[in-house]
Amino acid sequence: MKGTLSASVSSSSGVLFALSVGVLDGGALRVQMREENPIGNLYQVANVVLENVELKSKPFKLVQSSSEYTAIAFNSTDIEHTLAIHHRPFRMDLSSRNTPIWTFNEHGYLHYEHQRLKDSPPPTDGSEPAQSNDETLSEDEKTKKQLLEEIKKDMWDESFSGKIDSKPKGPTSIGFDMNFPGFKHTYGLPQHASSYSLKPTRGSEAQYSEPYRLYNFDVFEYELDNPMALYGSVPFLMAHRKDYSVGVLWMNAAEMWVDVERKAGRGSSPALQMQDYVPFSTISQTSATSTTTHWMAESGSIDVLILLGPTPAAVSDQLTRFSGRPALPQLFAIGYHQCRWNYLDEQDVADVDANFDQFDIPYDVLWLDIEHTDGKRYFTWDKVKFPNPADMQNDLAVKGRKMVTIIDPHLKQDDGYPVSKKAKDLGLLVKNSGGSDFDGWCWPGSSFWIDYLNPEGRKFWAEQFKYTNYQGSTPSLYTWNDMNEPSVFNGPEITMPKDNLHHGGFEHREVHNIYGALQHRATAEGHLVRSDNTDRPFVLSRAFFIGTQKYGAIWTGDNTATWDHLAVSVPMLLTIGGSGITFCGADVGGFFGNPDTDLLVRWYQMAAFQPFFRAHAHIDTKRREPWLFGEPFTSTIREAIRRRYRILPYLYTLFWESNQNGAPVMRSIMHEFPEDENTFEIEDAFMLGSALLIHPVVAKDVTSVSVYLPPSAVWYNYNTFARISNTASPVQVETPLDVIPIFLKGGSILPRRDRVRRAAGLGVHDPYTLVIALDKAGSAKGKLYVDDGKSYRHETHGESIVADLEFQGGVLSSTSRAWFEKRGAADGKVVTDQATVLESLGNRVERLVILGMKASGVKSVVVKKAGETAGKRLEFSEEEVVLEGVDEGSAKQTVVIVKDPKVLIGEEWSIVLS
Amino acid sequence: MAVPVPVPASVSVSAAVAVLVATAKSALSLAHVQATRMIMGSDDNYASTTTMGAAAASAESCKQTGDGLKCVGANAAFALQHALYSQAMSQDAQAQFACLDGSRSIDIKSLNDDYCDCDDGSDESGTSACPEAVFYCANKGHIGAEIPSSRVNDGVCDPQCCDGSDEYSGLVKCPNTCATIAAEHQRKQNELMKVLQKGLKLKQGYVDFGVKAKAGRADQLNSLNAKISNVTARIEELKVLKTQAEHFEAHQNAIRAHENAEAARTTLPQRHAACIERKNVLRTNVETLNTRLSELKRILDHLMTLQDVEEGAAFEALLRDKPILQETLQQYDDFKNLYVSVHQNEDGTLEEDASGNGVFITLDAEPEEDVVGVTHSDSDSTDKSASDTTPHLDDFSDPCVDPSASLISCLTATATNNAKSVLSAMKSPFTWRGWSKLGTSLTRNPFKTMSQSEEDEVLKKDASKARARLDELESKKREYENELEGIKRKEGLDLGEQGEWDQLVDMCIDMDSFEYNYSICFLGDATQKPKNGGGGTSLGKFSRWGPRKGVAGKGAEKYHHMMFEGGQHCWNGPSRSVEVALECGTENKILSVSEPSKCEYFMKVQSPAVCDSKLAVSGDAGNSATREEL
Repeated sequence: MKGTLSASVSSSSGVLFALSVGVLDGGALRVQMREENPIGNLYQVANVVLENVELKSKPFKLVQSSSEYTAIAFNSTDIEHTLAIHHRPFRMDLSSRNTPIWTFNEHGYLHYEHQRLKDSPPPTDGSEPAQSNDETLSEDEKTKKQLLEEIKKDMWDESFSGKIDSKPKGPTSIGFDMNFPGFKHTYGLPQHASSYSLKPTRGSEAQYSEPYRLYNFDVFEYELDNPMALYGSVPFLMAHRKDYSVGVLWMNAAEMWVDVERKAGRGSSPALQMQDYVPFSTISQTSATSTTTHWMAESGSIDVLILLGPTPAAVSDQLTRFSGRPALPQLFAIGYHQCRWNYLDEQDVADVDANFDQFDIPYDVLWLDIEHTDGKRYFTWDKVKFPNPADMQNDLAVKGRKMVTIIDPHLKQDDGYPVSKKAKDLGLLVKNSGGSDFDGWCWPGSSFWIDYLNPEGRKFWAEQFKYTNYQGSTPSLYTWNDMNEPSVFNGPEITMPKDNLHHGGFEHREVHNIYGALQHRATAEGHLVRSDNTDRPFVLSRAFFIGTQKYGAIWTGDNTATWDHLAVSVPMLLTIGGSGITFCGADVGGFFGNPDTDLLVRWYQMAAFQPFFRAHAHIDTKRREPWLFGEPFTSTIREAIRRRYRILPYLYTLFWESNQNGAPVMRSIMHEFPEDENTFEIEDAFMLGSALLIHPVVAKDVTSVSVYLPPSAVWYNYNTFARISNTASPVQVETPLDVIPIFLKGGSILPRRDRVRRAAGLGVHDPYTLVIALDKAGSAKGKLYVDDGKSYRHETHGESIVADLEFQGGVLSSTSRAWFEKRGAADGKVVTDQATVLESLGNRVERLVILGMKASGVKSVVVKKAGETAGKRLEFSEEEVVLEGVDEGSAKQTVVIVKDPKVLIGEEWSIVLS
Repeated sequence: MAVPVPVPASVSVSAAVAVLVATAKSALSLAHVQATRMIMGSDDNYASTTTMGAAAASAESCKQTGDGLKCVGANAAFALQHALYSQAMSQDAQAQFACLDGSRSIDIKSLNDDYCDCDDGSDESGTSACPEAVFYCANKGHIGAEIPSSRVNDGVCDPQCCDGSDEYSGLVKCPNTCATIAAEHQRKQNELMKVLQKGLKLKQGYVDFGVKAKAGRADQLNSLNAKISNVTARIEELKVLKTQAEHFEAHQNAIRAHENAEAARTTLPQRHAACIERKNVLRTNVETLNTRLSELKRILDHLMTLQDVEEGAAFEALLRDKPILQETLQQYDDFKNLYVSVHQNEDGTLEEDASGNGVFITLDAEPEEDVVGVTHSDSDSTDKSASDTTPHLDDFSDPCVDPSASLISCLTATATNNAKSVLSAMKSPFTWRGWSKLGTSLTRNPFKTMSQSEEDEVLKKDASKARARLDELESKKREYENELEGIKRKEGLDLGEQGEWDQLVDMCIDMDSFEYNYSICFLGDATQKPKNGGGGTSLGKFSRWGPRKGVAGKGAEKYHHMMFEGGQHCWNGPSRSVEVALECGTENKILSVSEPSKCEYFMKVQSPAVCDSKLAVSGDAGNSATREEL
């Protein structure tokens, strides 16, 4: 059978719901359920999330259709899956290779408030007791009656701290349970300042007393270890066990709460197996711990993708296949960003820039916060402090540096301010419940908000970025969208009233969580509009949602200069990155408060290995630019930043991979070692790609840290190149202030540029150093992706190189043949020929650093280019390194350094060590 | 070219020049640039740089010795490296180059081959291959400069390298701008020298003043100490005299009281008549004033009512046109409100009607003309009753003295005071304090012409004079002590290397910036005042020399920064403070003010006091000026 399975589900009150289950090509199951005959339309997030996603249904086999249940079978990633739909009571069980992985409504939490009219009598559902005197009711019935009255009381309006929420559509909430049999660990549901493996909120293991809340907020000085909502939301969760990963994504933008509960397996009954497509009956048969999740949203419909895995990497691929691939950022965007609220004026900007050069610290972008504007009117400049903004940007641009200005979604109410006036005149603003333009309070005072739900609103917004509209902007100016949860100072919980109205008659409650992401999108579209689709956008947003990764980067919001905040940024970023938004970071140093020097140093050391690397500070804090702390601190921070610049080729390749398959740039150790149960809760260390493991120091005066290095791999200390004995895990690593423990995984080839320039873009013609770390078999693999780092020519004209690097049996070979054959061009464009691509993008390799060779094993090194038979001898040197830890029967290790093989990345060649 | 000169690696950096290693880098770079160019074969200026190099490494400056090659002179390190390099290049590439840190020897061909062989980067000072290396731009015609090797061939024409020598890979073509820059540099340099010369002259004045003042201070201290001890001694004597006089006076008073009572009784009618006459005069005055006031009030009231009627708009326009009118009205309004509140406070009831008539003093309530019961013991109680019936206007400072008070309030207060005086005179003509004030003013400085013993004689018998004299000397003593304090404070201050800050202590300079006026008094206070009026905010007091962060420099450098700390505390921030960076100039002037961090201010200030003659000699000024201007 092909297509979708449809059915009607009847509620206890007799209202019919349409259920549709489809198997999607690309490894997902889509479950949709909505009222068959709704009174009105409720917002469908999928229309936005799945926009431009080609949805192909996959054939499935109907294996059973009885009055009790219907079962279908299908393959995904070569694994056989079976879905059984039980008819009464309604419930779904999904199994993979005959092992249950997901169930729906197993606990009967499915609850759907059908739409109704205010004046019509509630449909009788039979269960409600007929009119009777209170005296005749039992205690239970009384409680139930009271509860019902309580619920009814708030059905059509409710108040919260003095603010009334009118609810013209009445109650529209939805709740259901999804369960992961045999899965103890779940991850996801950003954004919370909480652990990586989600802490249970219910049951005997509960660590929080409330569910995880997803409702984008501007939270002042947020608390840690708390399920409270923060700036962004992705209703995505992945369950993982040793042999399987499965993800779920609920496409819904309304306020959401999710309970997580762990249930211990019962007794020692054998792990559940499914035979002959007979649906499993209950998870209680499994011996392992299971996790139940209970999802509740205020509005919308049920539209859930079940991402079939079976690995964390596959889930990331599936998640971003359907919610959008992370945009490939420009090279500068992955450099270091210097921000502060606020750099005062043009002189201040020039001084800060000059100091970076004086102290020889690279950076790529200087940021201006709200004070740069004329009275918080975005797209304008304070005429006294920034009289010549274009010159200021050009002075930075000469050195390859960029500038970012903040552009928030609130518009000052001022008819003399064209953006505000025009948006109002064009009717592009969010309306209040009465239908007039919503008037709220934010930085500029009384403000309007653009309705980004309206395509016209987004178009209008994008137009504002044209150079002719944004006076004083230049091509090296990019954008920061803050306060887009949206933050409304005088609104309920500092955001918009839920009964505000958006384009299409949707209430704010239905679209709240997507609002900021749509501003993010409109801004990115603005960057495309102004450059005629040639310059890749760079937009940082604070609010985020499903699909945000298509538009740009996000950061974790207004954190604080404490060690706790430093520590929590790791699980927070792992969660966000694992939820599709791979370009993310936390403010270095902490936004609020003044970091101690050691805290700041540690923060730089860590953040240099995180995807988005920006220092930021509140206006009330002391200056904390890297040179203000004296030696040795300035040098330690300089080295931390330079460490990042050296690995930019590797990092850029990771961002490209992320763009291809959604792989988190910064990922958990579990993600890389999904079968190693010791890694499932690790959140004090992380991987950058698959080659580097970073264990940041996140507490004061720590003299050493204990690092778990999965024993299935060989590891090298990245700082000393010494191999770590594989019996020594976890290893204890000394951590003086200038050391951050970093490990290189054997089997990786890490491409670097060891010449650190003032800005990322200035190094694109520099040669590479390849650090080759051998695994147990003496092999290693790596990739290096190269394009111009700015434009879309890699897509439109195929101007890019992917070099596949492999070291095996003493031979390092590089090939790009497969890539050159595969690449294509956009419609109407011609693929640039290989020679031209090599001419502009191919740089030489200046050095090989080979780790894990046996001592004195190398007699000669010869390079052979394609077509050559006789090779050319190369100079090399060999250095012995001390093994760290105790190795069994250890052979001595050496680092072999091969000098300047003069081979180009993008060409075919091999280097033979014998 | 093919003269084989074996240069053992071990001597390329001999012990004799090891100390020059640090400075050798730049010189080395020049040699290496040449090498690079030879290797790269892309040198337009090859001939000229070679000539320069050869000139620097003149033949007689280097000699081959048993220990290797030795060079002497100011450019010894340069000469050494150049000679080494020339020698090495002249061989058939057999020579070795020892990395400057001695860590290893490398093939001479590895110099500037765009691969970093030496840990210290000494093999690649002409390329970007070594992260730690420094590249030297000869900048012929201008001043040579060093840049980090990371700026070589990065596609940016570095302003420090006006000859464009940092970009030779073809990524970008950098024009040679040295001639222009040198000319501009020279011009600035000349200007700077002029400023320096003038500044130095002024500074010399400060220094001279300081020398004198310092010497003078010793004498001043001595003389003040002497004065203080004299005065102190005299004060002790006076205290004794005062006690004597008070005893004496108590006795005399008893006698005089009796006599006075008698005399008063006999002259009372005449004095009473005189008083009545005076009262009438004063009363006429008061009435005249009241008439004028009432006229003024009528005008003002009319003006105020104009505001309320329909031609309000026109009136607004008038007010905008004549701000003084608006101010006057405002003050009048304020006065009325004030008056009302004062009278309300008096006994809880409103004494006047809303029209503000209460501002006038009515004389109807004057006391009986017959004075009864005038006795000595009465004086206190009459004083008291007078003050009881007087509105509390006394509580406010004299509006005729306060420059911020308006004409009207002065006028009104004058009228009120006149009336009060009359009233109190009527009540108690003999105890009116005015008389005794008049008396003392006539008898001021009675001791000028007396000897101390004569004075003692007088004081012994006159307690009030003794008290006055004692007061006078005590205040004198305080004056001396303050003066002493001031001198001691200056003595305790670090007034600069040569005492050049002596003359500038407490000299204040200020500057307007955005909405504030900033002022600092050297080694004193720093203040911020809003330009649109309002009170000032303390930004701190002088606390030390040296910058905010790090330690103060040595010698003259120490005085390049002045810190003011402990100012008014900032909400959500620290106590306000100012870091003042001083630079040489021909006048004392604030150049700029900024607030880089919350409530931590930074000022650039010019002063002749920091002009340094060394700048003129060493040319350091030139170098730093070049950097800045580039």
